[in-house]
Amino acid sequence: MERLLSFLFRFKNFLLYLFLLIPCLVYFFLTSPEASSKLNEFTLNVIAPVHQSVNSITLYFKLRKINDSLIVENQQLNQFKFNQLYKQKMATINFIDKNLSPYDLKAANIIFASRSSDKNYFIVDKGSDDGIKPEMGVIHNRGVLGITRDVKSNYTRVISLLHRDLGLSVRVQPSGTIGILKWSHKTPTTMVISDIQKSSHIMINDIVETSGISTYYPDKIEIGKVSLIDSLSDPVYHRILVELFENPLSKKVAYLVSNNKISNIESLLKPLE
Amino acid sequence: MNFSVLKLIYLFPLVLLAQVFVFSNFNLFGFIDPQIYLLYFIVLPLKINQIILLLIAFTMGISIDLFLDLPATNAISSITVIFLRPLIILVLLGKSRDKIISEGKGAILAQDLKYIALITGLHQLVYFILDLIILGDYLSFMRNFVFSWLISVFLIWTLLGFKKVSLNE
Repeated sequence: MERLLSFLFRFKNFLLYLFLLIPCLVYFFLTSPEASSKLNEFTLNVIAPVHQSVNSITLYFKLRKINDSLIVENQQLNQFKFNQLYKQKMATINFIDKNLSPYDLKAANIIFASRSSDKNYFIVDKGSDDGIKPEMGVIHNRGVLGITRDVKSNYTRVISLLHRDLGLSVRVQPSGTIGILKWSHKTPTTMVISDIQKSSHIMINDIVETSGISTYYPDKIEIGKVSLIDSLSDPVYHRILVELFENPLSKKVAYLVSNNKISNIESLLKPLE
Repeated sequence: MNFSVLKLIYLFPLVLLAQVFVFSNFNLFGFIDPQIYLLYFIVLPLKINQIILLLIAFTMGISIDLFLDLPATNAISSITVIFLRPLIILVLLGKSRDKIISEGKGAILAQDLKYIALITGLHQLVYFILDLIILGDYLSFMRNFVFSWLISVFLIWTLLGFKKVSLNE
C-alpha cells in the first residue's frame, strides 16, 4: 500500500497528464454524433450568446460591405420577381398550376463559423422559435452552406459544407453530368468531385450547380466552376476540383430552406408496407 | 494575495478572448491562425506546481476548443506542451536551472526567443500532427506547421517585447 502510494506520488504529474489526455483523445476520435451532443448543447447554450454579443459589435464594421451585397441581391430578386410575374401571366393563359412554390426561405445571421481542417460548423441566430427544424438545407446568396443539425430555441448549429461527412449532389453544366461534391480539406473554396466517369465531357470553367435530387436544396443554385480536371490519379473516374464563387466562411447572412413538399417526397421514399 | 497571482488571473480571460475573437479570425492563406494564447504559458512562473500548471493548461485549451468548435485539439496540445515544459527549461538553462528558479530570475526566459520558439513549436507540432492523423496530407502538414509556427513566434515575441510581462519578481 505504501509502495503504491509512493509510486502514485512520484508519477503524479504523468498520471494527471494521462487523466486529462485520454478524454480529450476520445473526444477527438469520436465520430458518433449522438455521443457528442451533450457538449454541443453546452456550446449552443453558453458559447452562442457570447459569440452573438461580439458579433453585434464587429458587424458595424462590415455594414458597408453587407449593404453592397444586399443591393446586388435585391436587384437579382427584382429581376426574378418580374420574370415570375410574367410566367404567372403566361400560366393563366396556358392553365398551369400557378401556386407552385414548394420552397420557403428564412433569413438568419451567421454568428459563428468554425475553421478547423476537418469538421466545421456554423451557428445561426434562429431556432425552433422561428420554425427551424433539424435537417433543413442552408444556402447563401451565391451557393450552399450546409444542413441544420442541433436546434435550440434561439440558436441552430449547421453542419458546414466544409465537413468531411457532408456530400452535395451537383450537376456540371452544360454536359449535365451528376456527381457528389465534397470538401478538399485544403482551402475553404476548393471542393472535389471524384465520381464522374471519364466518358463524360467536362471542360475547365464549366458551371457547377445543385442537382435538385436531394430534398434539402432547390434546383439550379450555381455554386462554382471547374478549376482543374485530374484524369491520371484514377483509371475510371475524373477527379475534378471545383472553385466556389464565394468563401462560405466569410458569409454573414444565411437562408434556411424549408421544403413544403418534403412529407410527400418522404412518403414516396418509404418502402411499401 | 500576491500581485503576480492577480496578474495571472486577469491575464487568463484577456488572452482567451483575444485568441478567440481576434487572432483566430486572421485566416492567413486559408487555414493559418496565429496561436497567441501560448503567450500565457510562456509568462507562467517557473516556480508553480506542475499539477496546477496542467489544470490551467487544460482549462485554457478546452475553453478555446469550445469557443471555436474544435475537437479538443487545443486542449491536447496545451497539456502536452505544459507536461514537457520542465524538459524545455532543463535544455535551455542546463545546470543553472535550480539556481535561477530559486533566485526568482525566471522572467528572463519569457524574453528568450529560443524558449518562445520551443514552446510554440512543440504546441504547433502536436496540433498539426492531430490534423495529419485525420487528413493524411503531409504537404499541407509541413506548410501549415512551418507558417503557423513562424507567425505565432513572431507575434508572441513582438507582444512580449512591447509589454514586459514579468511574473517571477
